[in-house]
Amino acid sequence: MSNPSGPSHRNVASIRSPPSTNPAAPASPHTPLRTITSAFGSPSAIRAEEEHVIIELGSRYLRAGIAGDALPKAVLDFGPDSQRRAGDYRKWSVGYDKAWRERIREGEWGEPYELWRPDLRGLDLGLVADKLERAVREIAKYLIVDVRPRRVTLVLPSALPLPLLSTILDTLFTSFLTPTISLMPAPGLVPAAAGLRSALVVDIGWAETVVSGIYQYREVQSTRSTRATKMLGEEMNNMLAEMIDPASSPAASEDPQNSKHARDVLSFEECEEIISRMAWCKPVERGEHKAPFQGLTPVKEEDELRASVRSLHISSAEETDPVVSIPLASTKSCRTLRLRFSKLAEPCEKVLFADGTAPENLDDEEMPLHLLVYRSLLKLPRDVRSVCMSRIIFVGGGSNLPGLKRRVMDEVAILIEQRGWDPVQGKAIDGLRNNPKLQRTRSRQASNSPTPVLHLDATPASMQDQEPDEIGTVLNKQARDRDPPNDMGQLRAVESLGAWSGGSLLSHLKIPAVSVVEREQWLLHGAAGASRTGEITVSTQRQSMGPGAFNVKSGAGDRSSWTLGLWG
Amino acid sequence: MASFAPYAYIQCPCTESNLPTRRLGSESPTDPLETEQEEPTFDPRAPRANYSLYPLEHLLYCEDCHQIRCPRCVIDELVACYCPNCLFEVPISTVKSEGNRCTRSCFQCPICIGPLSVSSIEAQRDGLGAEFAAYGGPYVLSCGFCNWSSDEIGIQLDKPNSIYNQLAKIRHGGKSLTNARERRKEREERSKLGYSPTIEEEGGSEDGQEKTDLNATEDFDAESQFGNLKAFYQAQLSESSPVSSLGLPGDYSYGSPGALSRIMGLYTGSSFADKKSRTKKGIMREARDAPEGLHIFSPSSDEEAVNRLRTEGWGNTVSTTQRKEQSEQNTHFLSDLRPIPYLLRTRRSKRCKTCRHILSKPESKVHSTRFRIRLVALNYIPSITIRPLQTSSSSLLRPMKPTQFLLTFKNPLFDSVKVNIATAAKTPGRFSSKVTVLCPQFEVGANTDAWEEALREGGNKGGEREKRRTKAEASEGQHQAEAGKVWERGRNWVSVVVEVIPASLRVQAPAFLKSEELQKDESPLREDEDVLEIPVFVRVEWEADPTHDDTGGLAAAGAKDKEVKEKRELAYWCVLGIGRIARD
Repeated sequence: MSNPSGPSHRNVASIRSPPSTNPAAPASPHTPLRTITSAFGSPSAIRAEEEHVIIELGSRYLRAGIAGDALPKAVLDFGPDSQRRAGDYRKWSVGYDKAWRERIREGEWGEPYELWRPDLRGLDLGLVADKLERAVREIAKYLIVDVRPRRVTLVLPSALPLPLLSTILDTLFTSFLTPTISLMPAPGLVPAAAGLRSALVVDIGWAETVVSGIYQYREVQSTRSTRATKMLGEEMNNMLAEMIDPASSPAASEDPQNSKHARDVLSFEECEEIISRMAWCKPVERGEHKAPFQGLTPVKEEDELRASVRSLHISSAEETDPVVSIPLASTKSCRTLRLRFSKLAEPCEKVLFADGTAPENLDDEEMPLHLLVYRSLLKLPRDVRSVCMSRIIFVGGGSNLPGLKRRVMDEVAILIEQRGWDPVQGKAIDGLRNNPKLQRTRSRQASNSPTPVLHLDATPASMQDQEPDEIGTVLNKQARDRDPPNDMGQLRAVESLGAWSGGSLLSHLKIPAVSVVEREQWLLHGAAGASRTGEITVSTQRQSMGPGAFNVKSGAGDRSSWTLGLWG
Repeated sequence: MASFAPYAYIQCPCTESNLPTRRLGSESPTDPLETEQEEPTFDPRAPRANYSLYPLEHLLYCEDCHQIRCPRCVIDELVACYCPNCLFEVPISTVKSEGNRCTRSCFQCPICIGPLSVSSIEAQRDGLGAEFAAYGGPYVLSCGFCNWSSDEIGIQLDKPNSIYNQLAKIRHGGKSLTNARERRKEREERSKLGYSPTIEEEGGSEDGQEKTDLNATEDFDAESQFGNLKAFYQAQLSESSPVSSLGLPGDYSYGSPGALSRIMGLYTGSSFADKKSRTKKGIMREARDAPEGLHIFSPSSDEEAVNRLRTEGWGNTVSTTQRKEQSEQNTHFLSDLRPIPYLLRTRRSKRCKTCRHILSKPESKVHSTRFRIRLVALNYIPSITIRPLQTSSSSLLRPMKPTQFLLTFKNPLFDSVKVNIATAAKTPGRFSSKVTVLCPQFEVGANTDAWEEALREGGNKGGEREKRRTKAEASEGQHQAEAGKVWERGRNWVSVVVEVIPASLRVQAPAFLKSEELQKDESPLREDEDVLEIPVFVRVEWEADPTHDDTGGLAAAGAKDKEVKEKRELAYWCVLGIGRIARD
């Protein structure tokens, strides 16, 4: 405060700090530090009473609640029953459950239950807006809020297409008079809701499984696979249909018409119910994986071997595999399906772990979960990896499958044990490693070379320890004094409360989001008015010290430029 | 399916201003010119139509905008909030602090959502005065419908009242749940004794021991983990100085030290403030243990769940509908269910979105069902009822057979209205039926006092109505309706005849019988495609008395041109569900 008598500054400052402490720091440019809990730390606490609605949107569910709640108060789905005309009460009529076959005919399995699908071609955005609007009006019933202007925080998947985002924003702004909407990325919030700064978030969602590496609250990497709950549901449906009515099996004949038959056997709701109640995931069978990975045996043979081992294993475990009976109502006649308990784990094996498919035959977008996790860990830089691998968080609908988390963790551990952190694998490299001749010549070359420092031993350069660096050690030591070392290096899974709770937590702590969209500006410009994230961070130097995904925000009064953050 | 009640749905005009239908990358982009020139006929089967159609009873009417208002174009405001079970009114400020559930003793059964009642575990005493004897001892919540009792999840209560508060402290199996504040206090005591996270390194095994203990005592329900995390973050935020921390400035105001020093920095260059911030820069650390909100996944719990599933089977798992009612979304077994406190209901007043006038305002007292203001559309726009002209034995419509229906328009206004109705000759969709309105233009009389009308009728021209009747009956005998003539007319209602030729529902019909859409899409019959729905564009015109709804000074001003009446019109799409077509 070069000019302490500057009226404007002093006036504002003296509002909060008691006058007695002011003379104590005559030339200090720094008002006395108060121990403030952030909830009351700013004049904006006047507005603390204002409720802040958090909405998390996924392709099938909408979660909503008020900031500061641990769990969302309303979870709504977009099933066909909620999409009827107002005043259409046929849902309650007798025999409604039975008549599901007429209702769902089109599209893929489960498509009428989605708000959007990843493939936006041919998607009616107006319909998405309609569905969303109805759902948000429904929220008001659960949250006991009115549609008075209130701030909304949207928690969105980080790879949401711009047309969808702009539809969502349009809907919220035009029909709910929201003054501002903050956008937060779901994967970034998941570690926040676990008390962590970095994590590997495995989101087993509906249409796809997304593995995002989060480092210091920033999303540094994201890989995805189509092996997710939708595929699992379809597989479960086919399996059950085959058990109920063997003629309907799509495998029995190659006729594509037959997959429709499989869909006619069991309703979507019932299939989903069976998944949520009875599906499970087998633990790793230790024996088969113990054999070290060798490129010498052809893969097919190995697969056969595995299969035989598995069948042996199952037959031996017959006693621990009881018959479960599942009452079915949506089949043509009510009946009870009796099947082995292990059968209910098969769709999971087949879909999420790509059992029965050689890893070589898998496309990039259909990696099984354990490979996906391993690969994304592998792709991360080394130090990030070490932090992330001990903070693996499973979220999403699929993560509720009993036994799944453990299975993925075990599989990844085995993969690491087998392959280490070496991206190169296959017959050739194994041959190279195992070939004693090559080893010898290489080491001899190395010893013959003029620089003996570069002596090559068994560990390749990428795996060697870092050279000690004096400055680095000092810095590290300082850092450690401030911040004791975190758990790193060993594989560990952490539970998170989920993205919604993360959003609720951060909004409650009044941490501003990357992008705050204001109503006026959105209605004026639409998505085109948003500036790129980079531009904002450069132009406003004030907040340059604020890293982290949640707080790159333009200055207090300056809201003229805004951004859509990572969606823009 | 057997019974079908004809219906009339009205499309709120607000839909037109709504988002247009956009299809991304569809094969044939619609020509904007084409659509502009002629407004397309409303298709009641389009997927978006479901969102804009409402029964007349759901609609309101704004007297200032002279427009229909649907739930999409009104803004609602809370008037009162109450528990549907005990009808106790909850102040809205309490809702904000205590949540959206009844916090007294109202609970729903987690199995069948029936209301739970409190009962004593002790055996009921027989004999006189048994009902007056106070039951002592532990109480349980029990359901009268499915016999579920909170004893099944190991919850017994000490008192028969304020159950919400008691339940909040009890975990499954009867163990008590310490709330966040108590836990924090306990933790602080422990840290005074010497346990502090920073000396963990030197502490060695002893500290490790204590850490695991801590984790063990901590419970992992979402509520407490969230509480722990919140406390942890708040502590971290206040620790790290507002200037420096990794950009978590609690506020932007000038009052904050951080902002001030930043402003100083503008003039003095990177001097004091920057140095200060650099030295003080502390990174917000991660949560380290359970009291701070970290919850490490334990593989054994996963295994346990699988084992339980194996041994207990289908019968012990929670159905999706039951799970939906639970606040914790991942309950899997019946024993994890908790009684559901009743969701509070609200009474809302509604305002027009464009002019902000109140359209509906209920009484705030819970026990009264009266409205202070209620401008329902039923009182402003003519209602339409449909019935078949000839009574036939089958409720289904025979395909390809002309059938006549009577549309009765009833006028609720005190002025007579002119009604224009228009339909396309063919209904949209794959199976298009032919529709003819025999009398598309007519006038409906005013809704005057019924007695007045009766007297007038009895007086001078009482015979007229009678005459019409007989004429109608005569023509009914011949099964013939005249084009351009009203079928029947009453005091404030008019019936007109609509003739439909239902389409055949055969998908595999010969090509010349098929509509274009059907040729494109030959999938089997979908839900409700057999219902004959006619989109009708209704235009209502009437001359309202402007002095009627304006009062006081305006009436005086309007006195000089009292004769001049204000012309009003209202136009909207309406969908008439006539009946189901028989399948052949």
